Amino acid sequence: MGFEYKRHDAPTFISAALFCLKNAISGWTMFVSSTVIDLLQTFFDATIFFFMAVYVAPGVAEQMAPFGGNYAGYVVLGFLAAGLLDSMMKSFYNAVASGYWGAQFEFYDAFPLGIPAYLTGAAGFNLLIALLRFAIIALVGLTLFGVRVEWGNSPAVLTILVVGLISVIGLGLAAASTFFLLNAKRWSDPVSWVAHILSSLIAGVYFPPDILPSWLQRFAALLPHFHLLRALRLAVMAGAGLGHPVVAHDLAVLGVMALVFVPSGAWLFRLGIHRAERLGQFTRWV
Amino acid sequence: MAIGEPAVSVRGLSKHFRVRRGVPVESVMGSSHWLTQLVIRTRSPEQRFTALDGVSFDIAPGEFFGLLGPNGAGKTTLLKCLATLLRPDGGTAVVNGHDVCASPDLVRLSVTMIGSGQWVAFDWGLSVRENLQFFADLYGLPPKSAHGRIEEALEVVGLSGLIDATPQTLSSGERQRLVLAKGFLLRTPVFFMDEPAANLDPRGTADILHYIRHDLARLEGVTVIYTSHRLEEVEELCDRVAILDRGRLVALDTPRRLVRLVTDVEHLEVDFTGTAAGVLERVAALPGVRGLDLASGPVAGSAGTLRIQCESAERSSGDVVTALGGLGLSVTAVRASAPRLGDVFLRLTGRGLHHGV
Repeated sequence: MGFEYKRHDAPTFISAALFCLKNAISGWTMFVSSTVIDLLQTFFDATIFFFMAVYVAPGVAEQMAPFGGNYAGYVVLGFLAAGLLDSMMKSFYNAVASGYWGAQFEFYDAFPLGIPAYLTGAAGFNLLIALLRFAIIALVGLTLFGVRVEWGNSPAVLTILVVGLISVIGLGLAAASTFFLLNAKRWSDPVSWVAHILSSLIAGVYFPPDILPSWLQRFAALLPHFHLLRALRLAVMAGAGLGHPVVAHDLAVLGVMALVFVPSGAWLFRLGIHRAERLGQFTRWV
Repeated sequence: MAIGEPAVSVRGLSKHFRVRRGVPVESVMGSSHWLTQLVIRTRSPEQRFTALDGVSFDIAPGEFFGLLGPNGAGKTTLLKCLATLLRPDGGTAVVNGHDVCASPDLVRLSVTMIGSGQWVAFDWGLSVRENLQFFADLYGLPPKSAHGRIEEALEVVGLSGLIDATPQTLSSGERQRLVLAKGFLLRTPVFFMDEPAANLDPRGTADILHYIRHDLARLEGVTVIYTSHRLEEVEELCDRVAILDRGRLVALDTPRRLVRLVTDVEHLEVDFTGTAAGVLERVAALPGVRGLDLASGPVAGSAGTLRIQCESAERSSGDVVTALGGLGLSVTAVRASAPRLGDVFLRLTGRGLHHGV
């Protein structure tokens, strides 16, 4: 028999990434009680937000006008979309941290496609879980609180979501790079941390950014969250299509952010991997 | 790789590690732990130690090449550099015609790394078969052939009966067999083996080593770079042996030629029992003793074996028995022995592979 070589082609990558995804799902469902609590927590979070919305709504009726006047829908959609972006952003860091503490990262690095396949599988898993949460919260809103959704606008909503998610992949990779570059190994990283605080505060997750001072509003426009939330709300709550000037503007900004952030994040991540290879920090175990 | 080129070529390879005394990650709590780490680490002095210091050698295709040295000699660092898991700081290393720094992905395609302790990376929620299936996917083995390869690899390592078990139910020896099975899924041209037989029982070790030497190396012609602390393994398996000490290459030759370096002295082995505090210093001070190594022990109440290089085995044996008796130890056997690779290490470095002086 002649020598054989590892392969680094698309089928190998897809097969390995799918295996990682399947593995992450089976790991998540392995401990049934934790999984049930996880899902119940999402249900109760949604319920709390809906109750808050019901009581806060009368005070912010004016600011809600462009979004159809529905504060319950506004805040829950903000909570949902921000959660989706946070999950996507954090998934790469979490994958790196799991790989490091579970001693798998060095294993994967021995294969040209090992780390990309692992990260893709892990990010896919996080996205699936975030979508599941999204579905639970949407179900709570639709069935218990009578939230109205413009179903006919689904293609626009999906486009906004996909572009928005892509725009934060770069930030996610930058977040993951800090695991090695800043030795941020204790399950939290500065990039997601800062992004989460800023987005919660000024990007319009819980209240309209219009009520903020103008200089803060300008700052908010630098966050993908701001543009995604605004475009998504307009599409879901007011039926705005992709041709709506604000939606089109936000989509364009998200697209530019994706073009800038993804290569920058990939470069930083590569820098982190090189640093780990140089310092021998791929694993503390083997 | 062109015909006539070495499978592995290393020139002046160096690797240094910088260590900053920080706070263990586990002890820093809170979401801004990275900030705490950053502040602490920038204020603490940096220490640097050399793991590889200008190492150079060539390995021919199909050669079974041994790396020998005590803990911390640089063996694993060298293997990791060659397998592209660590980036060297200086020098060059070419594996299968590809530079490890310039084309790491091309190197990775053609090498397999088998280490001891790699079992921690297996997924404990998956069965033996599923774990291997994942690596078959990463290797790029088509599903049809992957199935056969997995069964074949498990047969080789003696785990066929445990194909549906999960790693957490396996013994440490069985987990190491699983690591080996992962490595045997594909016949890459170069294998790096870092103590592959660790944790295996004597029978398992013999079977696995036979497979590696006979099937992989002789029949398949793969190049093997092999490390082990078991001298008899290295002597028996390897075509050539490189001896590393504190990151430096101190000798490189066939095992037979290497032991010729120590034929000018006689060798003595002394088995004893008891707690042996100060035994090395006491025996080293005896007249005619040129070097010694504690090949095993001493743990309280356990048996130990001293390997002694001396001018005359006959004269020194009596002195050693008397000295050990004076330390309260019981000598159970004294024998003259043939020179071994460990004696070469002792001669070249002044220290034993184990606990020598």
